[in-house]
Amino acid sequence: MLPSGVYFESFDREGRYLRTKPQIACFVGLLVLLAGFPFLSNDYLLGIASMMYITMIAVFGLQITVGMAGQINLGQSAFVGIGAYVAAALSGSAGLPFWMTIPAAGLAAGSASILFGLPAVRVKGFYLALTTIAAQVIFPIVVIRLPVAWFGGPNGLAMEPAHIFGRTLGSPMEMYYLCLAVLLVLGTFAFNLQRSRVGRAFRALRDNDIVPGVLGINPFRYKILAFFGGAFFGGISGALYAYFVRYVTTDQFTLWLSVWYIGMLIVGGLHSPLGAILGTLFITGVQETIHHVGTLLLASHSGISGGIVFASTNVVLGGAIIITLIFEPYGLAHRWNLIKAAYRIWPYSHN
Amino acid sequence: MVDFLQIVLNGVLTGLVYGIVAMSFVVIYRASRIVNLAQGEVLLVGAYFLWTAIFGLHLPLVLGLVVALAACMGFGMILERTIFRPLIGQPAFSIVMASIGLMILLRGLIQVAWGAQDRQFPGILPGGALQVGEFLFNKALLIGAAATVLLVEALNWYFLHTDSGLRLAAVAEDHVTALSMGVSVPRAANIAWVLGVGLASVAAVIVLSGTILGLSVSAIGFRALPVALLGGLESVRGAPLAGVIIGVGEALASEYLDPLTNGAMSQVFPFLIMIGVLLIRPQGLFGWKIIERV
Amino acid sequence: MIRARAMKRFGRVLLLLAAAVAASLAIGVDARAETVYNFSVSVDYTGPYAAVMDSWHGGQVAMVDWWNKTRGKELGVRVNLKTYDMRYNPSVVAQNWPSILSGDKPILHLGMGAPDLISLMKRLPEDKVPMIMGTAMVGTVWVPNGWHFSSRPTYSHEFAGLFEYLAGKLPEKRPLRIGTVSTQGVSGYVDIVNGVVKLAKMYPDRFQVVESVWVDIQPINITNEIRRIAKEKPDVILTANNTAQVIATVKALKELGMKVPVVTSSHNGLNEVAKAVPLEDLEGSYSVFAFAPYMDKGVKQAADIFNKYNTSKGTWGTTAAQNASQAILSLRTLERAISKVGAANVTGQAMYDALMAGEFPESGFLGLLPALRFSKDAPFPTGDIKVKAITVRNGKIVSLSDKWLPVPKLDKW
Repeated sequence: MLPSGVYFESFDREGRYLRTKPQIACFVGLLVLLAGFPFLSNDYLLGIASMMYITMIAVFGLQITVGMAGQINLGQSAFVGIGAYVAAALSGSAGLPFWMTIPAAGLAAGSASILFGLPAVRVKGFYLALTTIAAQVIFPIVVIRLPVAWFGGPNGLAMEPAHIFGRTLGSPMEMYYLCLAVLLVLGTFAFNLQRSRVGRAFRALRDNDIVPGVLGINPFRYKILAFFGGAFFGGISGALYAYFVRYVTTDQFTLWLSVWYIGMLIVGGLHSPLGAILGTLFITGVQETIHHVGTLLLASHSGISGGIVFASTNVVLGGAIIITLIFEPYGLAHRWNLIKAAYRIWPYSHN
Repeated sequence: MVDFLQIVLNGVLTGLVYGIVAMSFVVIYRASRIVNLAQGEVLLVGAYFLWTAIFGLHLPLVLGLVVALAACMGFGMILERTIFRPLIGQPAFSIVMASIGLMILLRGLIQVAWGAQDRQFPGILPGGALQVGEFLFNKALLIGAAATVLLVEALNWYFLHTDSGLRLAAVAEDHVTALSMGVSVPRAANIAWVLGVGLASVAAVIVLSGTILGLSVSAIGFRALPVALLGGLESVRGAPLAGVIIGVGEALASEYLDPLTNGAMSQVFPFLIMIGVLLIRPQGLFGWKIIERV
Repeated sequence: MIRARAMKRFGRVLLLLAAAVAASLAIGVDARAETVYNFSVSVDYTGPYAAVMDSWHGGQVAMVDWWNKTRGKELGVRVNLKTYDMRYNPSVVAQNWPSILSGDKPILHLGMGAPDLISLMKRLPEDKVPMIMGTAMVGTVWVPNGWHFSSRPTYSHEFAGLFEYLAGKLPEKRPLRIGTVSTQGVSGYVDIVNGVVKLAKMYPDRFQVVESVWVDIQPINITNEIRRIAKEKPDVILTANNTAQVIATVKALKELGMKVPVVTSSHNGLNEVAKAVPLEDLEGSYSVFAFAPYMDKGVKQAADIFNKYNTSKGTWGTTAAQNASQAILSLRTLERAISKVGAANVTGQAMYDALMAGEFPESGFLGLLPALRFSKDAPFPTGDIKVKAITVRNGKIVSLSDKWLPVPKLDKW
């Protein structure tokens, strides 16, 4: 919905994401804000922001598989884990720099996803969810048993921080910029994917299982591609996670984490990458606020049991998911679009 | 030989426990086509209600059981009314997501309401084992097995030989069609949840009798998923049977394959079966053969 | 007219502001000029330790409060505990650590468990802040030149101490037969068994691992597995992981009609198990750890300190004792650092040097810990390691012995 008076003279011009000058200005302003954030905040917030960007990348991937292509994937955390392990292994034993390990991690996770994707060709819906759950559960058991030289066995792998031009990217600000840079690249990719040929094929696949085949879209190929895309993002998210925490063990990539990713996506809205952004932002924001409040309560010796405050993050997320499903199935992204549209039409209503 | 049979026997008894948890899952699906991935947490809530009745309110055993069961059923009705009724007719995807949301929500609510510490669960079923000839039968599991068989037969009779049970078959096939045929889907969902949560509480009693009750018990919900799938999601009789198969398989894998694979096989085994079922025969052993199930 | 009133109001506000600033400056200048140091603390109110957090943190807080009011006052030093809920999640630790470093500038970190180890192990040497934990270590973090330490050795060391004692009590001269119950897929759990296997390899005439079985984390019934162990006639069965496995083991033994003592650790110890299993069934079983049991006669002073200074809902038991010993080690380290560099100059490096500077005498630990000596080789005491145990005798939980039990030398596995 565009303000009145805006028109385009070529199809290309109309096809852009940022169509008017104010939109471009807003976007640039956002970029400036993100880049300048470290100077406005402290280490604590930078840590939260970096972790949030890492999660957002994984949820972008999930949005590709679940939102764009309609394939339920409850094993995203396993892909993140594969990415983390591969990055740690390559950076450790082969000594590769981060700008090689991160894409390699994405590709490795993507290749592993082919295994997940193959059942997807046969099963759909709830059954696919079960298959991905099974794969997610099997992942740690298998990784621990691989040779210790590869992935550290049960001990996990330690990891050096990223190096660039001889500088160690260890400080919160540097980590923040690394995560932000990767997020922007992948985010652009995700938004563009939605409008590309592949993205349209995904949408066809989501809407119906049989019709795309009739229309000449190979469902097998595109389902595998959907999983590959989601896993690629997940693998990169895992690699960044490894650089952030600097130690990788299988306990960090559980089914519960996969469930949280899906939760964030649902709350944000399945149908566009904007949903991934809003969902992660909202849930992380709520979670961190509750924890901050909880920490303050603890420090004040007020006698309120810490257990209640901190457990309420689960209550909030679960409640948010259910409320979203019942009242706003299209999620926060839909609300956002409605607000934007209302802003643009105001003060005139068209009804 | 005796050892082998004893292993198999223990596998059968354990498998029947999986079976009754799977049955609570299947009953909900059979009556209302709702997939409840949060069944482990629901079982946990049932167990906590029981704990509260007996240790919190200090009711005598039988009265406590009755009160807890009633509370569970009420809880099931609340869940159905608030969460799943608005989602009637929605694609399966939304229902799966809702059950995921329920999982997270229940986990949080349990911790807020009862706290995270482990607590003693009432020893409702007797401990120890019964010696019959060369073989030992774990008493609690044996009683549980008997209860499971009884419940299976009772539920089977209900679903196949009573009017209201047969109406539920329509709901299990498709919500919208059932509605258009005049079958009350909300009523069906109600019945489903009451039965499902009740069964989950019975399962909780069998699993937890005399041990510690803590938040990690909900993991059994996920172990019962392969069982439900193997038996067939609409088949009440199939669940315990599949449970026995998987229980025995797990026991044998633990005995013979674990030393080779360093303990991996017995834990991975049910999930491998699940993947196999999904790829080869998605309706499970006894489920309805729906043309477009997957 | 209005402007005049506004000016008056403005003037009044300015005066108030100035008074507030002056007052806060006055309060800020402490007449005694004591030095305040920060210890950062990881806690967990939502993860596996949520249930015992009150006693856990209560033990730490009580010890520090006592020290502040007694020894600290003498030295002109106060310790401030900065608590952070890390949700038992390494990414939360990693996310918060930089801000803790720059904001609180701690001289020591009181860690909780694996998440702290995982994220901080590599960073602490660069950040120059040592970490002291109260839980037992595992072989996977046994790396030299680390800045992470624990008042306890590895779980395997602790069990070795008890096994040494039990081997000595055997009627004939033969190795102690040990069966293990654990879970695959969780690195810490597997590591404990590996350590015990190494112990048996090093001393084949004293110890023998006869059978290892692997069960679920929350098992329903493990009679089959226990029968497999029982066939090998073990003297003890080791279940170090969690309470559910201990209970399942005890029940399985009862079902099979066998009586084999079970050996557990501090977190799944006899008190926890006794919640579900009557103490008669646990007769002769043990819990072993490298600090003094809460009912030990020697820790009465520590127990009194806890009861006097504790403000949380926690109670004096194994958990509180464990964390009180963590706290007392930290405080004695601080004292030694003060004596070396002066009360106003203690840094993380000074604390590290103090830890390395030789043996801490047993007398300083209020009976909670034996004499400890740290070195660069390992993240736990490397001198003579000693443990204590509790057992069930005549239906009651009692201390196994008044004296500390020595641990045989155990190499890295």
